[in-house]
Amino acid sequence: MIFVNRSVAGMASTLKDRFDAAKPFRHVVIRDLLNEDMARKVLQALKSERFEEKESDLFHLHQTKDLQSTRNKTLQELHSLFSSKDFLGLIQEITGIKTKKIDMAGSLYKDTNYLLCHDDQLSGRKIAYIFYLSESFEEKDGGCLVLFNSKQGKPTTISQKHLPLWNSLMIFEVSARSYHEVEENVSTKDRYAIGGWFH
Amino acid sequence: MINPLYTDKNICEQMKQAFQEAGMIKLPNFLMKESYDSLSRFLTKQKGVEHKIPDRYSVYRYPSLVVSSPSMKSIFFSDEFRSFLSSILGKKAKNFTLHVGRYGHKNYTLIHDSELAGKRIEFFYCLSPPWNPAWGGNTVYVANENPTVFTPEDNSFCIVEKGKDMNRFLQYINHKAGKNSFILVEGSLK
Repeated sequence: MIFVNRSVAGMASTLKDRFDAAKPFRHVVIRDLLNEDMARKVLQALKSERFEEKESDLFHLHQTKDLQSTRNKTLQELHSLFSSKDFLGLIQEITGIKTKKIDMAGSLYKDTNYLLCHDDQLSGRKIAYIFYLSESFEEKDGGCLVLFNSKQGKPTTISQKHLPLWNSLMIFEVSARSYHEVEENVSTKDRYAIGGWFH
Repeated sequence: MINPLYTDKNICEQMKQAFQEAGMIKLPNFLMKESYDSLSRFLTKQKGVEHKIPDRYSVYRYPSLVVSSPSMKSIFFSDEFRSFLSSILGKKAKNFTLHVGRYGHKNYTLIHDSELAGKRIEFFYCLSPPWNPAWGGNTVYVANENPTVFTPEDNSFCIVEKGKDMNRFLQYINHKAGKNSFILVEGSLK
């Protein structure tokens, strides 16, 4: 795992403890996932991908096609890294959940874009991940990942808000309780990320 | 009360035909000035209570006392309104349910499985400041590829025949709306 920050693998046990103890459902944020140079290269590569504007009752955002089919070498390397045995092994070490393959797409939230509350449940999705590539987002800008408390399988109040921190990876277990949303981006900053699911 | 244009027999026949063909109709300048002014004055000074189930809706709903107030009754529970509705639907407009809600920044309604149940007629009357569709807040009906979109328009009245496979949602209202909000009087009947 040549691009992964060396300290990440050494922190697996700490990350596992955080993942298991996290409320309102199991999740953890891994800071400084990639070497800084690689993270910069990934952001540059992502910016050159074609984004399609998508809108429904639930969201208004911009998304790339599955990056498995990208022609960009850097993004191919990132896809290979995330789907490698070593990386899936690291994710299993942290989550205790065995996965075999991934989905991966780029997302871009421009000013006013959002993703409303949902649980991500769909056949085969075990762990959701978002690798944040936006810089300098502050709480006043919106764009936070919001995790909801739930009662009897229904989302209730806001439990936590996570800023999309540069070069950090959020992973959470997909379940009937994993209600979350992406707050509206109320700034003129572009919120870039790469995300998907471990299956 | 209702714009006399819409209670004229010939126009009514045309509206009925248009509604039957399209399954929906939008009528601008719906209420006469006096009724509009009095309803608008009454509803804008009422306070809604936030109703939010994050994966279903977020709206400031007005209490039932407001819905059943004389201001509302004199319009939406009047013989004139009922008769107008019946003439467009081509059948007697029996009991209908009515809700009043205010929608501003961060409000929305999502498509939800429980909303799918059966065919029905939906109508909504709107009180709104000049509204930019880019702010969201548009009422969208989706049945197939081509959604039908109603942008909030002051003093407009819409009737929609909601098919079995038709879904409705109200687009999330984004921060460009600022402090602007609109009021919807929404009704439905089977």
